[in-house]
Amino acid sequence: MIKDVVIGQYYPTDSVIHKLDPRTKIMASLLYIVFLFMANNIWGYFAAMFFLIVIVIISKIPVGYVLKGIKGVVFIILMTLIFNLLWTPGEALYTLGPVTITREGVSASINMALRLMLLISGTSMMTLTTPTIQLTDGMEALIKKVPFLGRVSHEISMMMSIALRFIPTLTEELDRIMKAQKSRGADFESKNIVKRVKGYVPLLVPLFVSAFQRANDLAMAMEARCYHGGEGRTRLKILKYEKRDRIAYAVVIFAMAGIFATRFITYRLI
Amino acid sequence: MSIEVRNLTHIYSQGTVFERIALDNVSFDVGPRDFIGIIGHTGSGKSTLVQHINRLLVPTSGTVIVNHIDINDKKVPMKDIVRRVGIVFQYPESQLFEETVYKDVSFGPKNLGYDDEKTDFLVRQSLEIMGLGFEEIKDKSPFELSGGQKRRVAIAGVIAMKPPIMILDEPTSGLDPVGREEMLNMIRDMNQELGICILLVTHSMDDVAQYADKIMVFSEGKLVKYGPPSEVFADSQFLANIRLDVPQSKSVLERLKEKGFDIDTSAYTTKEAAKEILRVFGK
Repeated sequence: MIKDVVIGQYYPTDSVIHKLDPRTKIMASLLYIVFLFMANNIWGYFAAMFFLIVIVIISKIPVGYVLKGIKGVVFIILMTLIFNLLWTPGEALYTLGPVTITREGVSASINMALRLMLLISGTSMMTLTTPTIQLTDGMEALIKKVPFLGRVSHEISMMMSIALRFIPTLTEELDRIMKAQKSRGADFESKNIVKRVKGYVPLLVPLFVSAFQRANDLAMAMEARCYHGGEGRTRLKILKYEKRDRIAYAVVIFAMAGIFATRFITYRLI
Repeated sequence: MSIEVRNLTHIYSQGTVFERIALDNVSFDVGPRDFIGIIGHTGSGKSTLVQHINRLLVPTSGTVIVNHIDINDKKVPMKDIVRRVGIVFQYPESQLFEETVYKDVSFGPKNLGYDDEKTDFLVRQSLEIMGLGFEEIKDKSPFELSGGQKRRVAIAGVIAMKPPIMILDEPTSGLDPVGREEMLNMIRDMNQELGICILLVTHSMDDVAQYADKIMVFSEGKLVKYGPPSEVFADSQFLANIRLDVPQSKSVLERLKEKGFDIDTSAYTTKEAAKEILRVFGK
């Protein structure tokens, strides 16, 4: 159950996408997110979907794996779908008692659901194809370019890499504590909502205790090795743009222009 | 209360790239008052096995029968299983969460639906079994105790449910030699005085040699040997092949024999080995 979390998971294959500079992938993801919000009709989402499908095929990652990320937010997607469907005013398509489904509602709910799914699967493509160390290195290099923030770019990326590094550790820990409390008769599947919320106390208290303990140990270990931030620190691997990165940038910009262009399509599907 | 395991197989992440066989067709019986030692190299399937005995894991195939009840029958409520089988995980102190020791130990009995009077009795009794003074410890926060005390409180939390079968996964890891021996003696007392069936998972050959009636040896998910210590430790070559040692006292005897002394190497506990050495060397 907890093992289904895909956020920050890396799936190794030998594709070109994996070999790209992490900065390229981060920038591409950012552009993708921005342009996904710029799309204002279904054609834009179709264009984004086409772009994403091409990326998935090139990356050689099983489609099921990419879609696993959506599984975690299926509830949120369903909620937005229902809310948009029922509470968007406009031209009535179908009426049943107090419930009216409008043409605008149908189109808005489909667009929202598509946008969410594309957002999640698109960004998980970045983490699936990039090991966390590269990802945070790329972030650091990019943040350095941002005015003001640039001075703390190392600290920010260090915090991020530690956070990502501890996701699997803490899930494992949670799994262990859950099993221990289950063997003491704890009930996590109760139908009663109050009981269920209460049932999480025996999980969360030990989890926090151990997280603080680990943080303390880590801080000690870093200090013992004279960690003092990024100043004067050299790197083993220096990020360098290759020819394939330039091609990737060109492809991404072209695709984004394509998504943007769909704003001018006036033909309505619904 | 007996355990019957038949053709138990467990495969992790079946059907994905991460697929791994953790248990491979394991069958065995455990009697009501047995003290069983479970040994095996890291990743041999020991921990996976014990989690099947109270349905924390569901077998890929095979059956687990505890006291003539198939525990994977969906009609059997989880409460009926945890009432029978208590598991103490590795580093059990990490499961403490309540404000006071009393509240923490009573978590199990309360979950089983016992009233205050019965719970109070069980908490008292289990803290006593673990050698902790009830009056002085009951109102303390579990987080202000020492490491050894924390562990005892955590184990008391499992004993308080009065399971006739107790599984302990490396209960002595991280303890100093004195704490280690005290812990093992307490476990032996639970077995001999209270008649609790014990399954002790451990890396230490010396511990199982000294305390267990029977030993299960696991290697790569298979139960490769199951018998009394004398039988299991008879073949040190076999154990070496699956990357396990014999107890230290036995390896001393074997070394002496290699050096040409006429010595019987069948002893495996420290006492018996000492006796044998005295016999050969005279006084």
